[in-house]
Amino acid sequence: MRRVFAAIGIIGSVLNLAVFKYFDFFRETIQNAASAVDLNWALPALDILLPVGISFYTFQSIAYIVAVGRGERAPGTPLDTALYLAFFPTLLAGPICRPDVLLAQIESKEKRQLLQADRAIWLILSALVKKVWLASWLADAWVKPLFANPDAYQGLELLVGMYAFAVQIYLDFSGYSDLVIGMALLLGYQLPANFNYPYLAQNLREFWRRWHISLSTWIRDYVYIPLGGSRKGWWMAQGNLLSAMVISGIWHGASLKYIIWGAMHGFGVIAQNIIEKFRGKPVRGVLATVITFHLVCVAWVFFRADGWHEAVNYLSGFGRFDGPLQLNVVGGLALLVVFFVASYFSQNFSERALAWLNTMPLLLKPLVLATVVLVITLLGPSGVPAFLYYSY
Amino acid sequence: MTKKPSAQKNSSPLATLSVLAATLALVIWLRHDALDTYWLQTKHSELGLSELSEDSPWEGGVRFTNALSEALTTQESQLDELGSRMTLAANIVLNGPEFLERGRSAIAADGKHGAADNARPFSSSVEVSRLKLGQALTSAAPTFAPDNSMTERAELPPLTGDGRIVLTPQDKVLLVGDSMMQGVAPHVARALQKANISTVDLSRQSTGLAYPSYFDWPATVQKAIPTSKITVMVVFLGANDTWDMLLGGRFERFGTEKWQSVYASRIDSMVKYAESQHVRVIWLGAPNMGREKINSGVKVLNQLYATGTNDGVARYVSTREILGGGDSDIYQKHITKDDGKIVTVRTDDGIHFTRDGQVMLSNLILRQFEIPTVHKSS
Repeated sequence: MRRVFAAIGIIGSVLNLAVFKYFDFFRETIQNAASAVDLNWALPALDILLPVGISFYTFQSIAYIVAVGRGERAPGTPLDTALYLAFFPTLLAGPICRPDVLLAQIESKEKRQLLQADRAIWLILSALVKKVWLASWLADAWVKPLFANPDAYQGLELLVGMYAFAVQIYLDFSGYSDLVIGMALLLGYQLPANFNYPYLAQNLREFWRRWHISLSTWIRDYVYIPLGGSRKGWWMAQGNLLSAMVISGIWHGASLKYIIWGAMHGFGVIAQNIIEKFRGKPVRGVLATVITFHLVCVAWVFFRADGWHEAVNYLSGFGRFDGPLQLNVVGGLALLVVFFVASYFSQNFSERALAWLNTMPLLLKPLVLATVVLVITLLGPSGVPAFLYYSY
Repeated sequence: MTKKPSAQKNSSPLATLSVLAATLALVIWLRHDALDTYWLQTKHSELGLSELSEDSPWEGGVRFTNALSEALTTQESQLDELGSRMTLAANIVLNGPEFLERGRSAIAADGKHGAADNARPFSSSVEVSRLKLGQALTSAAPTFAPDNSMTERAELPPLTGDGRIVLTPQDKVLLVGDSMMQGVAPHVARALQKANISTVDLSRQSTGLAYPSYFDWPATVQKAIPTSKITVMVVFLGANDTWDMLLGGRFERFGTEKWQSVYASRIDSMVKYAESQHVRVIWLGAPNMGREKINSGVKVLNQLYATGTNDGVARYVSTREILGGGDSDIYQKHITKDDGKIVTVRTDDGIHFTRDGQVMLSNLILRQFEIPTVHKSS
């Protein structure tokens, strides 16, 4: 009986999400299909406002329903569950929390303690550097002009623009995650990490263990494994993998470009699995890291471009070397190297900065923090930047 | 992840709160002028953090910020110069030493923007055959104007018999506007690029003509037109301008005579400056809006745009008809096309456009031009 209710709950959640997210897309598709068979349907265009954070609380509610349905946990009280679904820091764009992480902390009867305040402050500063300064600058200087009008530039510039978007979306989204995890820490909650230097991944599977971790583990647990996972043989596992990646793509938006993005990652991981099956050892090394980064970057072009036509047009510009350079590609490539070196040493640096922040006299802290905030806001472009993942 | 034992111990909530509050207070002290501007631009009322006397301790924070900002700007311009030298060096490596001969004069003449702005072929002669220029653009060796003083256009871009502006690959189109323009600009830029006509897109969200302290379009345009050698300017804004203005420390209600005359003078300064530089202006009116307050406001703005651009050189182009699905007076989120299909042209906020809407507006702009057909040699 409990399983029936759980199934109804999951179907309801998915339908709810689908109606809000995809109605307009399917309306046009159905309309076009109807006109192809000479039916002149004019389906009404409903004025649907997308509720704030619908994707993310749908994911969390499915995780909750599954846990209760499997008997892994008792149902929470309505208030606790509502807070779990609408927890302010994570509501807009995750990280997607599981009931055993967030709901358990909400239900805990212990007195809530402020944990690791310095880590929280460090995370918030990191978010400001990543988002207000670096990601915004990259977007203005490199990403927007190139993706808006790729034909005006030549191959080298387009190549650097592609790298720039990869770095931008990482800084944007991981900066957002730092901010949320820092805010939650200040409220006394510990949230799971969402990023772990993804571009240092040596292969594509590892990339997905380091990028948007809360989504990829959610897809693994609630899409890939229910589809059959690797239980029905190697080939079925590859099919399930591809399906899971494509579903992840469709979730980002009802558009062919996201499906291609998902499929590229799916086929990429399958290719990796095939190579490893024949070589008998995992894909690793510097060359593998470089190839992985480039695969991810090319897929990002589909993610960023207005549509898949535009993405193909962008990529086809790589072979064009007419006309002089307008942008400083040498500087751009040098910054990419700096980014990788910084990523490599970042963890170490964070720990040291944190230790330093820990020992700093209380009275000095506001002065240092205010100065850092001031410099970041002066370095970044003016205006209030929006996070990329708010639209998903 | 290894955690230092010291990081694991609980922090004192009071100490942490004090640190955060003191940091916030310091940031406000350092940047309260920016907060004032932000408040004015988003809430359309005065926050009043800034004092009138400039040498009070309260204003010291802003003075410090401004000094720091200047120091950073100096650093930045040095970096920019280094950047353009690197671009030049890369071009010499890629295109051979003849690039140096042409590039050097460009750098000398134009300072830090030299390399970037002279990078595209540019010639003052309108008579250059279009085909020839198309070939020059696609050939490996770039052509350069030898002398910067020759690159200024001495006359307005010509018109066709039916009033369209004749564009050639020597023309450069400046796109000015707010977030409405941000959606439309890439479509225009891509279409013009197909004919080897370059564009400069300066559109920026939340901007307009009502709050120059936040963003000053007349000043921006006066800088951009000569540096980028613009020949046509397209303006599309107004979505952020239907509010009271702060004039001389007092709020002037939206739409009053004084408000209108100040707003009109800002339109005029943009249009007149452009015309003095032999630049044609296409000024798009704002469409009907899905929010009543803004919708009634843009009607006033459109009137000002139309009267400010009726001198025969600048032109006003209404967007209400095309997005109204035939009825120019009613806001339409969806319009029914001739084939009976319903397309959504506006987004949920009642202001911005869907991709279909952007393409319609882009086509409206492109219809103002006669664009040469260029056959690219692959």
